[in-house]
Amino acid sequence: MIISLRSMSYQDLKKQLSKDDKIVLWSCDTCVKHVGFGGYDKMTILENMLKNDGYNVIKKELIAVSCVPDMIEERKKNIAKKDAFEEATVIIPLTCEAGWDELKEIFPDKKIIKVLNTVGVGICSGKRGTILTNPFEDLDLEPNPKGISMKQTAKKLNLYDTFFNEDEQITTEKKEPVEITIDGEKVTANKGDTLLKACLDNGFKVPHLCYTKVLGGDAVCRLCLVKVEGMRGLVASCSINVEEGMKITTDDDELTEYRRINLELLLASQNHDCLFCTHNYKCELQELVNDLGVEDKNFRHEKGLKPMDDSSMAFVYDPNKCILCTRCIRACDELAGKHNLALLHRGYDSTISPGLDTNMEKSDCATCLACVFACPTGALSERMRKFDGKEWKPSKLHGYYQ
Amino acid sequence: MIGTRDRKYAKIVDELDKNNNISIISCNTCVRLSDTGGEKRMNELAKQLREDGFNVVDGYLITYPCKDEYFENIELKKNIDTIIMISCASGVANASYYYPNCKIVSANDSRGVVVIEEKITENGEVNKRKKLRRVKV
Amino acid sequence: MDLENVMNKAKKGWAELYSGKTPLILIGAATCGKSAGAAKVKEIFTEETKKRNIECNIMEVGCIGMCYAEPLICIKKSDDPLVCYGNITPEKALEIINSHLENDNPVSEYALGTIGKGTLKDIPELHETPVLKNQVRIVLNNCGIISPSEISHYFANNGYKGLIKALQQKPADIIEQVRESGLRGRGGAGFPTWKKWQICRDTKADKKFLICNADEGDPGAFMNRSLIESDPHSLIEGMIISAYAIGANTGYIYCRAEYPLALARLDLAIKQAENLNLLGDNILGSGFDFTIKVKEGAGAFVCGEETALIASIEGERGMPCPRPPFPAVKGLWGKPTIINNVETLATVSRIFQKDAKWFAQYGTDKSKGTKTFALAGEIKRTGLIEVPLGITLKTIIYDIGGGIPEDKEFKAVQTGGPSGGCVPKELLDIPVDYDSLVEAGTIMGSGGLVVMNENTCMVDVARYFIDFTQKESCGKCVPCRLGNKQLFRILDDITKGKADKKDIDMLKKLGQNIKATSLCGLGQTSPNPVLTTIRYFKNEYDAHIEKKCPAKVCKGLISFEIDPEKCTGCHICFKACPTDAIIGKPKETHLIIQEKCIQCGICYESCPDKFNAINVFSSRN
Repeated sequence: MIISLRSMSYQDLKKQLSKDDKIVLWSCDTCVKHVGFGGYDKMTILENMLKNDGYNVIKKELIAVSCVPDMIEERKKNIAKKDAFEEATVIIPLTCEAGWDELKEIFPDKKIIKVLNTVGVGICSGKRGTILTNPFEDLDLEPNPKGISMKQTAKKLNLYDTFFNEDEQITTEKKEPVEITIDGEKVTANKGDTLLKACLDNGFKVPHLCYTKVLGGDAVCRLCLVKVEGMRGLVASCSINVEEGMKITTDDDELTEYRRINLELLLASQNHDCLFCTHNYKCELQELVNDLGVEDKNFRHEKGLKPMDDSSMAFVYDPNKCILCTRCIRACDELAGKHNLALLHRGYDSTISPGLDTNMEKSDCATCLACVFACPTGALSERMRKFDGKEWKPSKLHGYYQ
Repeated sequence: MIGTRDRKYAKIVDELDKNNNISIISCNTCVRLSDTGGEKRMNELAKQLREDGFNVVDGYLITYPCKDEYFENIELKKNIDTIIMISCASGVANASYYYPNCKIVSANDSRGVVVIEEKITENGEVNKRKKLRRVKV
Repeated sequence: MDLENVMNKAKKGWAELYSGKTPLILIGAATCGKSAGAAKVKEIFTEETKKRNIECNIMEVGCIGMCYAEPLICIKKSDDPLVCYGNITPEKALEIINSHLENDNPVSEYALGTIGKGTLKDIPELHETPVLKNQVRIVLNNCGIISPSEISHYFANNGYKGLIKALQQKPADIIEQVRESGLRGRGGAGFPTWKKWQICRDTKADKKFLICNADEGDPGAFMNRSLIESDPHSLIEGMIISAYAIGANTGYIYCRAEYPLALARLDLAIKQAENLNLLGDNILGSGFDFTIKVKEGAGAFVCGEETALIASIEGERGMPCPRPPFPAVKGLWGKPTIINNVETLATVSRIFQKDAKWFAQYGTDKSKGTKTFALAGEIKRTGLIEVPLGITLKTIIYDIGGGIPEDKEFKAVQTGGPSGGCVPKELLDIPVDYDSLVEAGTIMGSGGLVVMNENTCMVDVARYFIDFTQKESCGKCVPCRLGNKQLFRILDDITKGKADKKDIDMLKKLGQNIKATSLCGLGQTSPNPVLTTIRYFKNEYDAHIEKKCPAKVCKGLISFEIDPEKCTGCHICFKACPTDAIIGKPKETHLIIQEKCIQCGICYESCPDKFNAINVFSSRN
């Protein structure tokens, strides 16, 4: 991991900004996220702080990695995004120096404010926290295999070892609060949020598979269906925005029954052999199935398996575990900007396909793993291998973090 | 991305003994992208070491050796006393934390933080531009 | 030359053409006519009249709707009314040339009826025959009468008068007139057309689009195809009026690539309209610009769904998106877009050629006007019909359609294609309107009516339609992609006798789930054929569970046996059997070895009628 720390106080950051500035927040989804100074959540914290102070944040841009300039260039040209980038006057990158450097080159006309200082490489550890093992040559620190803690590093180099305002109570006051009723309870939600986000934020557990905080939903899995008073039929809460006075039912016998049937359909239609799956106990589908007590007993099964695609050196795609939630497609579009994945064939035969119906290796895949970490099941898994014996034979190694 | 170079085979061998029971662990991220590691190099290294009479027992390919959780998926055999790490310095450091009783041999020289840019010129040539800030090792 | 001159000239030309001074021969040359052999008939008429030096005009027209009688020709000679002949073979054609063209003696034997002023001995007036008596032809008025390739013919029949009238009014007034007419979307769902337009009109945007949905994909439906092939200008006129009302400057016609003739005629019609400034910039000096582009669909059923259709035009995979936002607010390229069916738009031009009140006099309170239907299946007179809404299914099937061939028993009629349901005999008296059909568990749909007789197995029908939808599902949402596949597997097992009683409950439960939770209209309606057949024909499902197919259709259940009393040992079935399941020497009684028999039915077909020695049983004995 590349270790970066905050170099600037919030007050100093504000001094560099004007209220007329149109600000884009930019962050990688890899090193800085694990180190704790970037990623979607951290961007949201900074966004809320700036917005509450009256600054104009026009976009939050999450990218799989910023150290591949092609990926940054894609954002600049992307039809859906280029307007915002043209409009922007300031970019605040939550990336390592390499990313910051690239952004400066690709957006020469924007003010790129460096809020993180990169200090070297190190380890992200659950037990030991983030530690720096190999500092940069020009810093007054010595390499240490046991690692230098963030606190020490910050002290030595006069940096901040936490993200903006992390220790304080974060003011996430809702700018445009709307009152809605969920399952008979009156709650407030943010105007412009999706109904599903409003439910989740307020502690209502609405099952969902195709929705993630970062990627949003695609109304595909049909598990987040809720009843909205005055609207015809059931509504996919991931793809409808909250409106003042909405009355929502997220859970009743009918909805539960539908969710159970749709989950059972997923179970019956693929080969979900959890015991042999790298994602056992780390699978969102498995969790929902257990929560709702769904058993695969009513439906008829397909014989035979679809072939796996293990051509990529970074990950493996197993279509037999794929529930076609399209999160990987959206991750490749949104986070990687490669637009390398799409649906192929139709109906029951639909499958995720890279490039122009080729395999991962031959396609334009950048192996950034954005799709893998977006996958809710074991369909896309990291290529983790054990080799042993005289033949140096490979076998599957269980991996996955997060 | 973290930049690394292949360490010379002779240098790696210098640190090994024919009595060692060796496991190779390779990172599958930065070193793979800089062509200094990953599945291919691990298999080549294992093959050559075996041919030269070293006892390479097994090999593991993991995504991020610089994150703890990945080491927890490795169940190292009891007799292993030497680990060859194909990774940057932070991976080597992490291995020494997880396997304090093993000799850790690094197969790469860490360079620093780099940006790789591939630009295809009009003649179809691939220009690789690298910018680097060095780390101490 | 200004348009008025063109129109006057067109009127004169039309009167001249139909004066009968020079005999006029109309040849039905829509796809239905062509597939029945219209090209050959035309060739005979052209060559024979040339050979015999008969001066005449031979003109290809569209489809008059009587597909059962194709190839169809009409002859107008002297002051006699137009005589319509059906089922023309080369021999009949020669006879008609001899008798009618050369000797002024219409062949009453082959004539279906007369059209126009005057009567002829022994030939009924076509509009008085049962097939047309109950019809009200508004949209189909020109079909089969005018040449689809001649804009002047359309002019001569009030064509583009509605547009001229509309362009003199404010868009708001146009929407008001459509509201008065009570027109509801003819694509199936029946949403009030004016309301849709109003929403689009009220949405502010720099650009708006109009799309005509001609992606007719229901098995057994051919209303849109016939209409475009027979009278393309009525669609174009309706589109211009609609675009003017909502403020769109670009229109798309999304038409199936499987309709080459319709596409060719559309292209020609658009060019003709462009040449006369009926399309293009500043249409007829009104300051309104409108162009039409034709987009060929690649043959996916789901692209008839409006959001999938939009995705397809945008060059994306044809997959639906959740609504709201509705296309009228945010549609093609994010702009407000109206999507109307071919028939809806063609009806609009008729409403403006006459007026809204005239249109609203037809139909029922809530479903006004007329609707075209494609009659298909086990019915004597298949074809395209147009009836006022509120007419009963009985009238359509028995009076217009002439009932079931070979006097077999009527069993059910499927309305609305794969999204619709099967209506049984008991409900034949319900009026055909949007709401009554929904009550019966089916939908109006775009207008396909497939009639089934006693020899149809309803479980097999449900299986057929589910097979269709599970193949045509886009694969986006879980219930449609996987649920329909499961429905198909269960139904398949039922038709093979491999299911039990609880599978029928599962069909109902799963069907309800797919209806309630699917993303788009395809999934939300796809279980209708299953659910309605279970509702009305539960006994057939029960019989299948007991390994019997009462209609003797499902191959997995039925069996064939040779009646030893009737078998003469003609040996025909022996030779025909593909699996050598029949044994017996010539002139001796034959026997089917059940273990070898695959129930293909070839022996049954091959056994000469005079012996009729093979019996079919609804179960295995």
